[in-house]
Amino acid sequence: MPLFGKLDTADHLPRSAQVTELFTDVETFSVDNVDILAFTYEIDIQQGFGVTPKALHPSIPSYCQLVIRRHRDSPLGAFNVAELRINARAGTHYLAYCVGAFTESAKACRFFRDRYGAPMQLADVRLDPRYYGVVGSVEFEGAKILDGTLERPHYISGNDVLYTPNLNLARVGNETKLVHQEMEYVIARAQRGETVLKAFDAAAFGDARVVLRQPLPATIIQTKVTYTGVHYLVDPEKPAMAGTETVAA
Amino acid sequence: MKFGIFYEISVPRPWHRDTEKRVYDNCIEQAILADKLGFDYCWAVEHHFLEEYSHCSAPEIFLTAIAAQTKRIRVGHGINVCVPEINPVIRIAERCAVLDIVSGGRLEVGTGRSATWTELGGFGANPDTTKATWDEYVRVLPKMWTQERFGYEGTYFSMPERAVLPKPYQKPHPPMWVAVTSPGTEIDAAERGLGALGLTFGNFAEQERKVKAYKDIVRRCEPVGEFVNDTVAAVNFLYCHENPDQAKNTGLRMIGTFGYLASQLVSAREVYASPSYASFGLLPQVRRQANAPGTAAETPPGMCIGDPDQLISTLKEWESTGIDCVNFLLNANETIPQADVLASLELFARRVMPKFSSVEAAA
Repeated sequence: MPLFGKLDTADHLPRSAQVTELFTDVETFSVDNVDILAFTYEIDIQQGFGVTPKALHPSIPSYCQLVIRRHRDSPLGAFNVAELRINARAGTHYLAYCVGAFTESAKACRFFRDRYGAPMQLADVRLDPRYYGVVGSVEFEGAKILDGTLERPHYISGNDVLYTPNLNLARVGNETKLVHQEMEYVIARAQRGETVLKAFDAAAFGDARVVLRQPLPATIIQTKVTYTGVHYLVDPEKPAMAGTETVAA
Repeated sequence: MKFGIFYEISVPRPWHRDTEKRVYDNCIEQAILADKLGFDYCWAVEHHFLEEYSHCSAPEIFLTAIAAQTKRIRVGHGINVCVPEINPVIRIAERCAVLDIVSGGRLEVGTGRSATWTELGGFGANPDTTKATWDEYVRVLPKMWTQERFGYEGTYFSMPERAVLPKPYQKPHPPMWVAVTSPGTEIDAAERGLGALGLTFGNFAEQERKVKAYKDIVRRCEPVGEFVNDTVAAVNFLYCHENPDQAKNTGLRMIGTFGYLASQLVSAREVYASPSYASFGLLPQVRRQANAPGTAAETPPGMCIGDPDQLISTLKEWESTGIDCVNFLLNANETIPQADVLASLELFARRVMPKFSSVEAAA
C-alpha cells in the first residue's frame, strides 16, 4: 500500500473556511480569457508527507504548484487568485491539497471561502505579462511572499498542459472535510518557460514545511474557465477510498 | 498466437530485508514453470525509483538468472530505456549481447524511453528529447552488433571507431521491439521494422485499428535493423481458476492493486508540459477515474481473468484483432499467493493454450 500523508489537520484548521453552502453544478460560473500561471517544484519529500492530509497519498516524488489566475472579468468582477497546492492522490485520483490561497478581491475571497471552503485570504495578487516573460507576485501584510517569473516563453499545445482539482480543508456544518474544487478548461493558448523565483514564503502561504527543491517548467495559458460544482467531500483523517462522500452537484 | 509472461516486479511495503528477495524468488520460480509449460516469452521491464510499483531496475540480471535455469523460453529485455542519462547506448549493446550469448540466443530486445517524471527527473533527463534519443539508439544498436568496428557522429550520441564487444549469439542480431504506450508509437514501430510491444490495455476495436495500421506500414518499412520484426504483442493480466467467481474476485484484486500503484507515480505528462508525452504512459486504461475516490472503477474489457472457457473466448477475440502474442502480468504487489499463481499458470497451460494455433502446431 502506498504511503499516506501525515498532516495534523489542527495545524491548518485556524485559517480554514466555514462553508455556508456548497457550490453546485446548477449554478454557472464561467469566465473567458483567464490567464493561469503555474510554477511547479519538487519539494522535500519527508516534509511533503507532513503537509499532505492523511486521506491522501503523496505523489512519488512529492511536488507542489504555485498557481496564479487572473480573471479580467467575471460574475464577481475582475480578480486574481494565488494558490499553493501540494499535489497528491486520493485513491487513484490526481488532485492537490490547497495549503493556502490569496485574492485581492473581498467578493472573490468570500465566494471561494463560503462555497468551496478555500483557505482564501486577502492580499495583493498580481499577474503581469512583460516583454521577457510573465511575472506573478503576492504581497501579504506588507511583505512580498511570492515573486516568480516565467522566462523565455515558447508556445506549446494546450493539450500538453494538465491541471488537477483542489481539495480544500474546511468546516462543513460541524465536520472537518476536504472539499473538492474543480475547474474545466478550454485552452486557447499555452506557453512554457523557465522558472525564476525571487521570493517565496512558505510559512505565509500556510506551512513552512513546504521546502522547494527542483524547479520544473513553468506554464502560462489563456483559457476559458468553468468552476464546477462540488462533487465530493473527503474525511481528512480516513483513506480517501473509504472516507469519500459524494454530494449532490 | 503466442503467450508470454511479463514482469514489473512490484514489492509491497513494508520492505523488510527479505521482502524483495522473496518477490524475486517467486518471479523466477514462475518463469521456470512457464518455460516447462510452453510459454514463449518472459519479459522484464526496466524501471527506476517506482516505489512498490516496480523494483525491476536491472532486468538484464534478473533475465540472466532466468535464462540460466530455463531451456526454451525467450527472455525479453522490455524495455531498455534509450535515454543517454539513464543508459549509454554502448552499454545497452554490450549488455544485450552478453545476455543473448548466455541465454543461447534467446534474447528479445525491447526499446523505449520511460513515461514518468519519477524516472526521467531522477536521472536529470530532458523529456523533450527522449523520442529523438530513442530513434537514434534503435538505428545504431544493430550496427554495433553487426559491424566489426563502429564509429558514429550523431545528434545525441557520438563515438570514435571501436569494436563493440561481444557480438550477439543470434545472427544477424536479436529481434528488436519498441514499447507502445503513447498514441502513434505503433506507427513509429512499423516505420522502423520493430515489433510493437503493447503496454496498454486498449479495447478490441482500438487494438484492431492499431494492428491494421501497423501491419499496413511494416510491410513497406525501411528497417533500422538487418531484418523486420513484424510482431504485435499486447499485455494483459492472467488469473485462471476453475471457479469463475473466485477467478474474478482474485483477478480484480490484482488489477485494482496494479492500477492503484501505477497512479501514485508522476507521469511525465503530469508535470512537464511537452508534446513529447501525449499520454499518461503506464497502462492508462487501468487508471480510468471513477466519479469520486472510493467509487469502484470499472474493469477494462478483455482482461484474462476467469475460468478456462472464459479465457479461451476472450483470447479468441484478441486473436481476431490480429495480434500475434499476449504477455501476461501474473501478480501485483503479491496480492495473489505464490501457490495460486503457479496453479493459474498450470491450468492456463493445460486448458487454454492448446486452443491456440502456435501451441497446437508445436505439439
